[in-house]
Amino acid sequence: MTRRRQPEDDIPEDDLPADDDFVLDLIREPEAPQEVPESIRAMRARRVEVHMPTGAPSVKEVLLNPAEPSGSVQSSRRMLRRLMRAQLRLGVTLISWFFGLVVVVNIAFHFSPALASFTIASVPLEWLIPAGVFIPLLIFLGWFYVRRATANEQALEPQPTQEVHQ
Amino acid sequence: MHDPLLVLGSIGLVCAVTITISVHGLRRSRTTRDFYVASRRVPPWMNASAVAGEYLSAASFLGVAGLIMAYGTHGLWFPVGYTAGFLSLLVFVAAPLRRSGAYTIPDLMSLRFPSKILRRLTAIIVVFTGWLYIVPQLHGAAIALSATTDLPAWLGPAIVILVVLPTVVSGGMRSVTLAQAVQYWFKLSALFIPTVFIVLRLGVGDASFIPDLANAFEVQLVNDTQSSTYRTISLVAALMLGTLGLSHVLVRFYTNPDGGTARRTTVLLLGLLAGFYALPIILGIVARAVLPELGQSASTDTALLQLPSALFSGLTGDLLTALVAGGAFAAFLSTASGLVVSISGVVSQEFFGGTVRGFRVGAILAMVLPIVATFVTTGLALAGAVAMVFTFTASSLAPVVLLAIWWRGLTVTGAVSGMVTGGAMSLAALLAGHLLDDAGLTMAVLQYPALWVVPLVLVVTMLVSALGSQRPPENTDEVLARLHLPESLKQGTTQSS
Repeated sequence: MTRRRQPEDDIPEDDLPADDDFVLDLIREPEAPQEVPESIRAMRARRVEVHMPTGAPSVKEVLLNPAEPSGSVQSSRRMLRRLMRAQLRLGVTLISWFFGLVVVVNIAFHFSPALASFTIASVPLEWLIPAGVFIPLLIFLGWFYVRRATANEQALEPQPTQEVHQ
Repeated sequence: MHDPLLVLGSIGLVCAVTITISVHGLRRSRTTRDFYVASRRVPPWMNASAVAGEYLSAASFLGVAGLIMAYGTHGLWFPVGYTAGFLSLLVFVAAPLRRSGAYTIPDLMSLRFPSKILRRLTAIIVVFTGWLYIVPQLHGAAIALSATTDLPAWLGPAIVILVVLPTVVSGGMRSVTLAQAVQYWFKLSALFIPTVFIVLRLGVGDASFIPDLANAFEVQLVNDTQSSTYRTISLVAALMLGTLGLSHVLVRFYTNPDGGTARRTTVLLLGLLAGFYALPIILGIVARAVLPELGQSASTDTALLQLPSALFSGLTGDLLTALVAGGAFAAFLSTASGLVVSISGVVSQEFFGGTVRGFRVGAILAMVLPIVATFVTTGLALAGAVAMVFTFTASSLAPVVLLAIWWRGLTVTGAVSGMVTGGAMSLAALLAGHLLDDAGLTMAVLQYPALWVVPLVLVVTMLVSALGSQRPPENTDEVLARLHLPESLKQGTTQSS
């Protein structure tokens, strides 16, 4: 927002009189209404026809994208490896726990039909566990993963080259 | 039979709304910039609804209840696997894919490797998967129409094609987040309202009418109980990994502003899917009690369509049937259009230099080939057919995508040999399993090959990468940094608060 207004710094935006002064309105610089470019109408007026990208961006284009400078990244190969390892360990652990549970439950039901047909509120466990336990468990695991993964990423934040941010 | 006018009216309404929204979206999201601007404003819950709208297909809407009818508890693991697929998507792919800036899996592959062969191979697998995935949608449309009206079955696929093809070819339905988000809530209500009616009916109806719900859990209703433990485990593995290769779902992650919101979207999505799947599970269990004779027949996919009129007579039953049929058509239309758009995008980009003509050729091919396949493979259960597609992507794409994101040692030859091995092995096993007429463990191992093919592909890919003479590309670390570092770190000091 602040960046967009910089070229027209000479117009003091806060001092503009209210719209009721019609005469002044005619004399004023014509750029004045564009001072609020965030309105949808203003954005539509400035709309430019752009075509869909015809091909995938090249590696160079992506890596040199000025919106996301990778300068600070170059020096931190070790940091990257640490982060990847932490995230991968977290992901593999969660997925193997979940899949392991699926395997254990299925094998238990296979070898013990009594357990499978044990009923809680007249619903056999064989039916209750997949529908009533595993699906809610997935939501919980997802929530837990996002918390941990975000924490892993935030643990990197106060690293070198971030002094202004702090 | 019901009043076909009600069902046709409901289907017609769904088609009309779909066309209107896509034409409207065509006018609104004309430019790439609009798409980008919109992408920063789309909140995670809206994105999650859109992914769910695109994902919940014929297999989820009609097929889950049908499998619960046919296979009992084995069918119950399908919704578990479909939902779990998004847990693995969240854990392994969501944030890196968004941070890579790639739209599709071929884009991701070519970002990681400067190899034309690998890119083309990935594109071919993605297109082939999409074709396979459209088949059950068309098949479901045929089932839904012939089960609720006296009209011939071919009219169902014809309706889907007549709605999807013109809108896609004219350029509509492109990344219209709102349209897909609305579809989710419509599909949810199309099952939720009948569920409420049916549960109330069973709860407070006259005692003589209530069927014994305990019957629903009887094993006698199950078609086939042999070797079900292996089948279930392998199925869950296939569904958990297969989601990583669904191009029409992955495209949606681009509309997230950054990696963090991509993750939040996926968690919300898990909730939305869980909420949806509760309904076909409840209805499937009720159907086992109410329509026990259907469980033995081959057409269990029509269970949801027959249930309302089995419990309600007269107008209520007809209206509820029409609602379910309309919801089912919403499922066919949204998934089919998402698939056609993503297939034709890849076809155009890979084989026609990204031209509009290529996009149209791709769209027409994307509909014509599945029509042929639909008439060849009429006997498969919906969710079973979709499970085969998941098995194929889980074997061919998922292991290589996982290694490309998480392992810096992957080389082009490793990736190519992994994809070829996985694709060939899983297709061969699936074909052999369906040609073989033997109901033992051998058939289960062949029909559900994910459990042994996926580890095999991982081993092949890693061995070829590690032992081959080829080295990983030089910019591997840079690309991986792009995929894994959070946006706030990459932007460094430009962030101010």
